[in-house]
Amino acid sequence: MSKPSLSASLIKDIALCDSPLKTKGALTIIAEEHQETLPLDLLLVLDVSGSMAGTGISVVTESMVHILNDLMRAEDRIAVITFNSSANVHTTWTNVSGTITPLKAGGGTNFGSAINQVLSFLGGNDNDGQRAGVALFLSDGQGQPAKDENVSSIPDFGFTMHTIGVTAGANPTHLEQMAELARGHYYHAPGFEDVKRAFQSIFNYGKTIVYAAPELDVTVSEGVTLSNIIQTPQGLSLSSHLGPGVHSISLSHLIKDTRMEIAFEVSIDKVSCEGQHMIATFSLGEATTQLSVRGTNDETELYNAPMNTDVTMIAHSAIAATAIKKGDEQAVTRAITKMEKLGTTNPNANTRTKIISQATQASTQGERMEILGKMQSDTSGKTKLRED
Amino acid sequence: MECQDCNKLLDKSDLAAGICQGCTELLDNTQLQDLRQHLNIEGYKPPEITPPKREEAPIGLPESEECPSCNADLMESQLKDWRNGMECPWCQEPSIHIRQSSQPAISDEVGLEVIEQNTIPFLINNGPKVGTVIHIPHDKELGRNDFRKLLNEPEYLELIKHISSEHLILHYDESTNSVSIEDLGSTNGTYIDGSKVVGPIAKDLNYGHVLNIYNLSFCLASLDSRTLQVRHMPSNIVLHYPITTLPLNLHFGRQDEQSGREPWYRMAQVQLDNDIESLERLETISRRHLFMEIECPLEEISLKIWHEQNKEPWTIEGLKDIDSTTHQKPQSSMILEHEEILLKHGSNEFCLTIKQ
Repeated sequence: MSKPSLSASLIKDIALCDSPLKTKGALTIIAEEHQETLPLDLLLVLDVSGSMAGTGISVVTESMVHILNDLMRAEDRIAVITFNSSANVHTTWTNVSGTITPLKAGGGTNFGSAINQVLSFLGGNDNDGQRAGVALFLSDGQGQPAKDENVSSIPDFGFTMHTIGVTAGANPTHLEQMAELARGHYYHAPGFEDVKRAFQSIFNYGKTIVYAAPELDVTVSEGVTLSNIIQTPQGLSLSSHLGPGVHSISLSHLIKDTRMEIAFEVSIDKVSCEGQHMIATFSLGEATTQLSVRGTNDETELYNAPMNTDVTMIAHSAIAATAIKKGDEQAVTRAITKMEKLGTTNPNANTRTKIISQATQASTQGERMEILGKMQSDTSGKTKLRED
Repeated sequence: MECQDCNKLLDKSDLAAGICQGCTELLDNTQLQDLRQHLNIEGYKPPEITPPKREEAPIGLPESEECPSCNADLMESQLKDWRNGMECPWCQEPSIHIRQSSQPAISDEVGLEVIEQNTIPFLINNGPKVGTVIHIPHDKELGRNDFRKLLNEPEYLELIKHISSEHLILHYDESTNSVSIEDLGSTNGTYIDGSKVVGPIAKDLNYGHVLNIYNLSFCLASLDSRTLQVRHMPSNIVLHYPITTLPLNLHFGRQDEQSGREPWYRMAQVQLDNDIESLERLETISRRHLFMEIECPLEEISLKIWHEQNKEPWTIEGLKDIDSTTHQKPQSSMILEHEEILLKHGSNEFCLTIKQ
């Protein structure tokens, strides 16, 4: 694995010393240029309960066949797990030359057994970081929930899990939370006819991965706390609190030619007056970066120190995305207003504000969350929507 | 001053961090400036710079005059020579000071020279010399100096100004007896029937086509046939239609059958570029309007005029037995050479004359 580049900054790189400090920071991760995309392992986790019978099953089968026959590259693989009241491996890893037997529908919906089956199936997988794993979880109902800690251990196998809610019966908020725990995104399918588009979109996303579910190690210094650690622009909550010590966080896949941004809040008990005050060390594979702040007594210097507008944009973007997920309209409007103001000095804030506003204008919560999931920042910080 | 989110009283620590120390809400520039004022902390002032004292007056520029051809600034001895009537030392452009006094002499001299060269006869479509034939040299780069020599009336000087120093070439193909036009990347453009000629490919110029060198307008003169001259009176736009292939069909509407602009209208738009009043006047003519067909049985010339259905009629002077209000074709009337026919519609007026 070649080296990605990490860079961490604070809103201001100097602070009043001998005092406590609360500030915000951002870590950005960019894959090395010309990095090759990884071969894809696509694991379909499909609801085959009674409500899927008829149109549901036929659309899902059609979408699977479309991926297998038209989209898959020679190096890609696909596997299928089906679940109703219980879960089974329907098709194990197969490449373009393989076939998938037709699905049958009937029975209840149990998310818990589906996730357990996924974990035991992936446990026997020979993924060594050289393949990108994408699980696709599709349901049209509200099943018995899976345990959060089980869902969040999916990235340990180099997989992220995306969820598709067929919203006639599914609960988008629940499925979005599952996707977030498994570092994936939520896709919104108002009816079965939208399932094919979602399958295709997830497959196309899977083809652009350069680092599969990387693990970020964070060493937080004594007297420092990091909190509200959120991946932007998608607004994926990575962790709520990291105290002093070493932590390991699973991240989403790193996509070719994009910049992964991680916003966080920093709280320091007392800023040292001598040189750089170490806050944290971030490392991903062989790449490492340190975040520190310089303590000073010089008030004039402090007041006039410039604010890092890139960090400000990432911080606002995290607030806006979180608020959209919570459905807190007031907080969204406030964050957008602040980003618009920032747009006068940072053009990247402009493009991002436009897309966030677009998300807020969507008619359903499911659609809003899908737009958030599709937001990407290119290596220069300019935001765009991933195309299907 | 309070934080807008958590109502904490903001102080110096918030200003220093650029962030509310209570709820970590980011403070924007306006809020930071307000807080600065509130806390009585002066804004950032760059160090003062005192401009160095000037000991002596700056050296002034000498008097100069610009050569209209190459835009070189002529100064001192060059300026003196230029004002005495000597040519520009940079581009050999004749001095404007001599042209004013002895212009006819020069153009007479040059006129002879032009006729001796290989030339193509053109009818002039605008200015005081409308309808007269000039001979323009072919297969040679033509620029404003050439046209100054060809058209020495003061009225043309204003039009010639817009011609580039190397504007176009007329190509003449002896084997097919055809003329084509190549634009040499001129500033204001060359047009055939109102369509811009874009280099480096030469575009064919046929009889009846109008050649515009920006707003100077010509058409090919046919020395061995009669010509129908159509003059739009208010704007003085003139077109010449050689009566070679008959019947000659004319249409006085703005659009042709393919819904493109009629050539006369395209040309009018080029020529009346800055004359909004005249352009607006033209707009009052309908897209499909008055039709005319000219035939030449034996020695006579007969004319048929008809009208687009439901269009406001034109009034026609100088023709007998013609009812222009009909949209039926078969009316006809005789016209004589050098007799003027006036077609009037609102504030527009076209004058038609047949010339030998």
